[in-house]
Amino acid sequence: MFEALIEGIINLGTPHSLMLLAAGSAVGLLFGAIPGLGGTTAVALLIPLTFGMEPWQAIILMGGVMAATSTGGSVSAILLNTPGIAPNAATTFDGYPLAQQGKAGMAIGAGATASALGGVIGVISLVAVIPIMKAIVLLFTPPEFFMLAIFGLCAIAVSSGDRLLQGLITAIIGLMVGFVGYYDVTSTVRYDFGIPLLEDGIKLVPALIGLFAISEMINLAMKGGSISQETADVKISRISDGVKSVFKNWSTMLVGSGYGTFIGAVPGVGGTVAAFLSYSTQVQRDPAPDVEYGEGNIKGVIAPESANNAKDGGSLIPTLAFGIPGSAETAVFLGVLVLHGIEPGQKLLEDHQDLVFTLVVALTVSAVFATLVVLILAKYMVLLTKISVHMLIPTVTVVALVGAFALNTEIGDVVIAFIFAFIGYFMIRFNYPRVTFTIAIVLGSITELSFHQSMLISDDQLSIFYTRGISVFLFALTILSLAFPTFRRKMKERKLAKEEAGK
Amino acid sequence: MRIPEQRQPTAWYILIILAFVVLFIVTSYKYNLTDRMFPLMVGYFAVPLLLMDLLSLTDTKIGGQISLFFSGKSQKQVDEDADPTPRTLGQELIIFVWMGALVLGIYLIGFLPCTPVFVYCWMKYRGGYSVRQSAYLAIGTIVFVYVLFELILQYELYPGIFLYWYG
Amino acid sequence: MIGKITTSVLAVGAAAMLASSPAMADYPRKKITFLIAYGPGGGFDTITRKLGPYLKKYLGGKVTIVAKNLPGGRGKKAAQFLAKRKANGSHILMFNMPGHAMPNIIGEKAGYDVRKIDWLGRVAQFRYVIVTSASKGKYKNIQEVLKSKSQIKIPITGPGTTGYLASAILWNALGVQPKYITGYKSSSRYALGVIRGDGDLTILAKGSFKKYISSKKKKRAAFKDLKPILEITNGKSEFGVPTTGEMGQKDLSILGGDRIVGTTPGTPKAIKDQLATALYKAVTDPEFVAWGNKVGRPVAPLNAKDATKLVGELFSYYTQYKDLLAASNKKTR
Repeated sequence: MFEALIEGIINLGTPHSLMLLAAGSAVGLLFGAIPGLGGTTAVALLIPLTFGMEPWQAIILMGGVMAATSTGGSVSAILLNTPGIAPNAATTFDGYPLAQQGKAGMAIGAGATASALGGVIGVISLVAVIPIMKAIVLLFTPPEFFMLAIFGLCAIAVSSGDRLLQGLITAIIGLMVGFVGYYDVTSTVRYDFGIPLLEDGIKLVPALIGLFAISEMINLAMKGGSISQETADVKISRISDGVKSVFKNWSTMLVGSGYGTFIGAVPGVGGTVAAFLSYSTQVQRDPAPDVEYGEGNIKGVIAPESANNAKDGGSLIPTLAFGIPGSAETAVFLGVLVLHGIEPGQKLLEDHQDLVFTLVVALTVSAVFATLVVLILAKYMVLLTKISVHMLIPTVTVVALVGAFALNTEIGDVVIAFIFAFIGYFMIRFNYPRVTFTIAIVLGSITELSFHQSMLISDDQLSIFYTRGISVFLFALTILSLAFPTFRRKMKERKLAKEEAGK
Repeated sequence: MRIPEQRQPTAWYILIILAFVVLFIVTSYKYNLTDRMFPLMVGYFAVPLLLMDLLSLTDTKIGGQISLFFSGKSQKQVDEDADPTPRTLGQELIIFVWMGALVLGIYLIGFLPCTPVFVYCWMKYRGGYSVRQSAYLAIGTIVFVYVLFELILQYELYPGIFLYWYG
Repeated sequence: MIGKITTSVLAVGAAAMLASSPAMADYPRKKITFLIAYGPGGGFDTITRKLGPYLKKYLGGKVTIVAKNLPGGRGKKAAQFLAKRKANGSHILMFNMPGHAMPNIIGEKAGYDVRKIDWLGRVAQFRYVIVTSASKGKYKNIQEVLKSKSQIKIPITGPGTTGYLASAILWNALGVQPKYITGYKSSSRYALGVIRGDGDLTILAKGSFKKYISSKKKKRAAFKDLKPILEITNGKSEFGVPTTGEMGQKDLSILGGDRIVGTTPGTPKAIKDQLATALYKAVTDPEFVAWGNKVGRPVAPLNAKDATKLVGELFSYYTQYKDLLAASNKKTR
């Protein structure tokens, strides 16, 4: 293993390799930042370029891309409320309010730093679990998926704080959106109302583009001015403050990275869930925050950003153990390996350890490289929040719509983005949480599917949910998270009492 | 049982969601048991939640209690937390029409002509910029979109409904 | 009289040649779009992208081949898109047979008709093997399965999908009434389902099965993964297990998947021939063949004529099971 690691480092050590890595990283940043494009598209589009390369060179290029996308995505999430890729949606909740307060630099600094550290931790965890990788993947069967989904839904619903009732309502609407389309258990197409586009269900990316990017543009059109409402006091938006805040809140970053690695390793759940769960856990761990979550708490940026970069390492676990992609990105990456005549799965790990470690090293270096680039450029990117909204609105709207189209070259997705822009706008207007809505779209179908599969496996015995260790554990976590609001209120009362006493 | 004026738009919003939920429940009965089980569960769960939300807007005692139970805040505090931006339905409609026109335009004649026209018109007529500034940004945006998507990424940007099927 | 006919035949022939020659001179044009009916990363995506450069080579090297994913409607959208292009050979698509034929067979609105597509040739095919988990499987061999009194559980994709249908037809022929655990999104997902013990056994393409074969290293012996128990073939078994042919079920050997490239109906013959010839040469290119063998996806070239015939055969074979297909499309438990 050690030799393979050395070989990986040597592979990356040449100027040519470093150039490839830098190029991949740059492409990843750009594609991550533009909504609708994302890492999957970037990897797919670079495939023809790799035809003339050695396999390890292709791996360096792709590793560069994959490690950088979510860092790029965090920038647009913070500056424009536009998640570059789906997992960055969780970053908007506190990142964008920070930008509105003129602290975009700090938010970007924190997001980028958390990304780099999360990415490195994810990769280290990957290397650490290689010997027991298969066991981890096999732990999750349909009943566990069901409990995980229920836990996710509950944890995130209660994290909507004093808008709990409204959070539950939007969660339900999100679940309904998730039910639209083809249902894999019965092969029935539901709630399509005869529209062919809806047969495949409502796709997450165009929905998010509408829900966050375009709805915010409509909102800005109502408000006018510029995104940053503060008249620039440069001192409070220092990028280095953001970097420092990550080290100050190291436990937030560690928990986030843990979530990212762990959820990333479960095939079919993905970075969005990881980032949202990390966010909601942070809200729950911190019952008496200095700044309310959703109003610009820096920890609300660190938690999801460390998670969605750590998931790159995590999602390689099933990929390497079984040749089963842990995410859409790794699915395309597997395709690249096959194109180069390498069969993924257990054999890859046995016959091509050098390639695995080349990837590991490339992911690590690229995560750090992308962060450095963002930190250097952040000063200029922040200016976006200071220009008039009437320059931003038309350009962001158009580019976001092109992005919605580009994902599947499907014009219907542009219409979906438009409809979700309305839904999103009214959610902003009437203060209905979008956190629960988004996560319910993702988890709704997992909940239903894994429930029905569990019933098929157990011949309709509900006991399947409480006779298995992990699902019981997840159930206990769910109960804990539901008890949380009461706890939170108590803490708040105590804090108030203390302050009173202090006076 | 009265809903104070400042909360009436929210009430309408809830009623629209409720109508949507009812439509969803009705549609669900078209499907087989396995297919409608979860949707119905979710649908029926939504109705009492929405009604409670509606009640919490009224100036009744129970409304206040619901608000306090779920948010730990009195109705008055909730009102104070609401976004203070003044919004009238008229202003909102105008922006929806702008956005709707853009999407309809893209659907009919494609991205390439719509992009510069939309950017130019918005800058000029909503932002009050000069012809020159508006034109610059319009050209800049279309060049960015064309170079990135069409040239570098080799996407065939949607050319409008007629060219798409018969071009 | 004969002379007159000859003249008129010649005249018609000349006119036809004149009419088609501009098309020939033009072709191949600057760009051919090689559509992919599914998203990036899957088997179809990979093989289409790999094949592109070889196709380019045998089309004279000047044409650009652009691989383009057009996922949607479980493959229907791309086929529909292809069927509605101008018939000038500018778009081609690798069809998934029999999957793409299903809507036509059960009479669902599809926007294309596989019987009318202009077929250019087959690239690859796969045949099935029945696998169980070596460590968790209840049944050691196919005899135990056939004799079993309890219900066999099979993790599989949803009703109406290719894998589900092949299972349904196979077990129906062998007189077993299994219980299907549906809902897995892909064959790699349901293979994982068998490995972790969600069900007893399942059907898997031979090529994709090979990556789950047990590791030789002792350290990982705890996960012996999958092992084959029945192969669907009329020939000799690759894995030394019983075959459906040996069980007297010769008909079943058609079950599997064929990857056949087609273009828009009504494409001029000259263009079609040129494309078909280039495709055949590309698929039989030694480099491409070697790649296919290396990654467990061996090529199975067929020329345009044989591919067209095969589509016809597949169509009539699966039409026999029309009721089963239609029912499985609607049925819930």
